[in-house]
Amino acid sequence: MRRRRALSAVSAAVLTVAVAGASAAAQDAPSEPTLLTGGASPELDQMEPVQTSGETVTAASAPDEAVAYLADTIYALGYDAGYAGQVLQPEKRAIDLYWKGELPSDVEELISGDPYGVQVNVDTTAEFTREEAMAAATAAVETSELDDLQITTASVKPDGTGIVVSLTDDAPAGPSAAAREIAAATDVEADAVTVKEDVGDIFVPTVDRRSNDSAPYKGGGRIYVDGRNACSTAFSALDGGAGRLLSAAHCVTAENTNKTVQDGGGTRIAQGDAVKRRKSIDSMSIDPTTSPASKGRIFVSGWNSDSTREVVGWGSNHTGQKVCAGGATTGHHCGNIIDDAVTASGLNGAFYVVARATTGAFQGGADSGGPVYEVLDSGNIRAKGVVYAGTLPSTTACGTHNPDVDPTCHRDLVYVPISVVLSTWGYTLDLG
Amino acid sequence: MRTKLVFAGLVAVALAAAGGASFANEASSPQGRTSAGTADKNQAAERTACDPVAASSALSATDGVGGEPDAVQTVTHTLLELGNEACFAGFVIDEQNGQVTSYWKGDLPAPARAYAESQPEGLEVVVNLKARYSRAELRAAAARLQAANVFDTVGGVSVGVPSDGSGLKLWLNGEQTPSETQVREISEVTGVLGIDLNIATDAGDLDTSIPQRIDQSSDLDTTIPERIG
Repeated sequence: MRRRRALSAVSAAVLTVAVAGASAAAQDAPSEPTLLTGGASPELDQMEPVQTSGETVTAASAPDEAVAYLADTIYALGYDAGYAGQVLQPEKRAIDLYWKGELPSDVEELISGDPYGVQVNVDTTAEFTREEAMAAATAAVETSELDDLQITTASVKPDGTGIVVSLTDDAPAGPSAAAREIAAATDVEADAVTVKEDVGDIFVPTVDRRSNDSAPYKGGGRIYVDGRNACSTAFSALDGGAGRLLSAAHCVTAENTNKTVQDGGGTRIAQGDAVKRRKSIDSMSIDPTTSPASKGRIFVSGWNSDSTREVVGWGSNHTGQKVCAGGATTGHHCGNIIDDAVTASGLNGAFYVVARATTGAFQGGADSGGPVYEVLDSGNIRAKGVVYAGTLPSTTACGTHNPDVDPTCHRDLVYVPISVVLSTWGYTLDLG
Repeated sequence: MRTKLVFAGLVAVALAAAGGASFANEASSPQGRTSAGTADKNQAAERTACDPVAASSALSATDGVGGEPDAVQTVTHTLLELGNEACFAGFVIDEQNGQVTSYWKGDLPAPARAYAESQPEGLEVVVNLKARYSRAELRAAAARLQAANVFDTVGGVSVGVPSDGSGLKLWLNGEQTPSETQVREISEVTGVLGIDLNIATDAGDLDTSIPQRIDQSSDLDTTIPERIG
């Protein structure tokens, strides 16, 4: 979602984006590290696995991916245990890690010995955890008593020393006075508040990510129907030359008479007749209002990832093959096909596919409609299907997931072959 | 919403039939499967022809390629092109060991056989010609069974088509196994012999529930944008 914002109601996404902009050293760093959940990232299968707290992780062959992957893992392990921030330096194969208090043992274990050849420089003197700083930044832009300051954005410093607040060029208060007012309204001291003046009434660029994509829309992103039913997008397809987003028909329920589909930030993607369903194969086609509407890429990695990969084709499904799925609730997981031709009551045909996760969950609630795919050696994506359901007997713990829903998760995933979806609609796959 | 479906990996329940299967398939041989009588054996022996019409409709819906073909994709599609698709039963892929096992009902044309023996793309291709049924036949049978009354009567959840072409998998929601009469009825509906039905109980339902967004208070955009293009 991209939108012009002023003064208030700055979302967490905006806040985190502003972090990267606040530090020149962090320009290449993810403002909020991507979470990796469950199975390892597909492109990370090249290197030797590392054991962390009983979970096997692997690193990327490319330096930037190794650094990003390690950062993801550090964040996943410590985001609620003193994590303050990190600045990634892919070119130096290094990470500057900031922590409040002692490192948890699992993080300590992970970073010992320069894993994947990445050097992690640790500073445990951070004054604020990322969570604390985010709370302060949110309070700064949402507290009505501070409206007069004309705050445009607030962000957290990656080194855990405080927050950065930007004011419009018409702001009446000077930096010192503004910092004091902000400190009084938040849980930070005035010296932890850096105030930037005269930034204007800005257009805030946000980073598209699974949890909140924007046009042109990609696969693997979050959607809501009528602001309530949570689901995921699968792939971009072409109806002639017009872009469509594919998802699952059962995302729309009986009470959704308007069929309003929104992205993760609440921006309306399409509604009414622009949202079509083929219930016989549980498929939904969304015709976004925007143009360009969609893009031949999908999100990969964790539930809040901003990493995308190019979709280069589609393939059939055979028993034994490795496949991955990446819905907007639980993110990327992989496993193997255990049945490549089954029926499902209420749906037509005997071509549905069942796959089982290598470990943990393959799918969770609101991953419905998400992409099933194969990751090629090139790192590109071959489309394989659209997430339909999980099997109840395989219910398992979800692991890290998008907190916008409270899902039930399953080790066994059932999906609709992409070939069936495309042929039923008469679409071609939108290739990146 | 919770609808019915399959759960794989359950213990198969033996059907009441006598005798042995005419072939063994290690890839997905149902546990506890026993046999049919002489009449069934005779029917099975006569079952050699493949159904090209059913095959074309079934395969065209589920097989395809695009972009950066890899070894497995190249091999499976070449085999389908060179072989008789109407007699194709399925593939089982062992990526770790670089092996593709292909199951066929009846013989494989010489060009396909030669291709399989050539270790194409560096893969070992195992050809198994002992499939009792083609994939097209079983898919059609599965669809008939799903639509039949007996499917509901026995508590059917899902029907699966094994890649080895050995018969049908039938998952039931409950502990009750079908009676002999019901098994006979299933065989009549599907054309699949009783010995080739692999029945599993306690399959459980499929979870297609859609969770509600927890925080619905934030700034959802309620404006209706103008269509740009």
